[in-house]
Amino acid sequence: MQIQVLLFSVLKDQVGHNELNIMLAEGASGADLLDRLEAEFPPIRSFRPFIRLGVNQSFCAEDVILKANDQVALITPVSGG
Amino acid sequence: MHFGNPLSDTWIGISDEEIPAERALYFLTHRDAGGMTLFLGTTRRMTGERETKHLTYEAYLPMALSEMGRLATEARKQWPILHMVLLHRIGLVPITEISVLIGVSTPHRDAAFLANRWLIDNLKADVPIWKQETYSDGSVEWVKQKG
Repeated sequence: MQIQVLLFSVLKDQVGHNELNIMLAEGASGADLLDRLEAEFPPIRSFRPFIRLGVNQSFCAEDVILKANDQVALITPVSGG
Repeated sequence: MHFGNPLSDTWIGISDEEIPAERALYFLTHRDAGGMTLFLGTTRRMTGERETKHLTYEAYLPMALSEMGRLATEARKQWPILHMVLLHRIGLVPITEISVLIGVSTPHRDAAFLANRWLIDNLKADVPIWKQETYSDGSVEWVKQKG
């Protein structure tokens, strides 16, 4: 199944993309997605402990089970205000 | 992109335009209000020894708006809020200018102070907006989360 990954801020700069399309097995979790991303994109590794997942625009824990065509934002610590 | 249209009692918006503080104050006005609080976050020149030239904000727009809506709903469960405004500017914000506005009107002042403080603290923790510093020496960096 295909997952659309959105990148912002420092991750967008370091990975060099604001969007990635990742193929995962059915039933994959948010943690599976992050494992895959940090293997393919080493800059993501150092941010992994701080990344929160925004799945279809809501915060979700890493054990969330993803569905085909989910949109997953990698949210590094926010700094608005 | 504009700050959107206020609903009857809540106005939430994100835009690259200047924050319309006077309009926000007008929107907060309510005949049953005994107090209104308006918090304005502004771009500061000096942080420690470093001089900022300007800040640039990036938002994950649809989620930032929905998180601001969630905060508004949660605030209304805790305090008797009459009118409420949450506005955030994105793009380049020069020093002295306003990047964020939180406004609340309530029957009594305690709730107006408490709700406002809760809203800005939670906005800074959960709303997907990121700040990039451009320093006077030309260097640029994304602001790291404190603690």
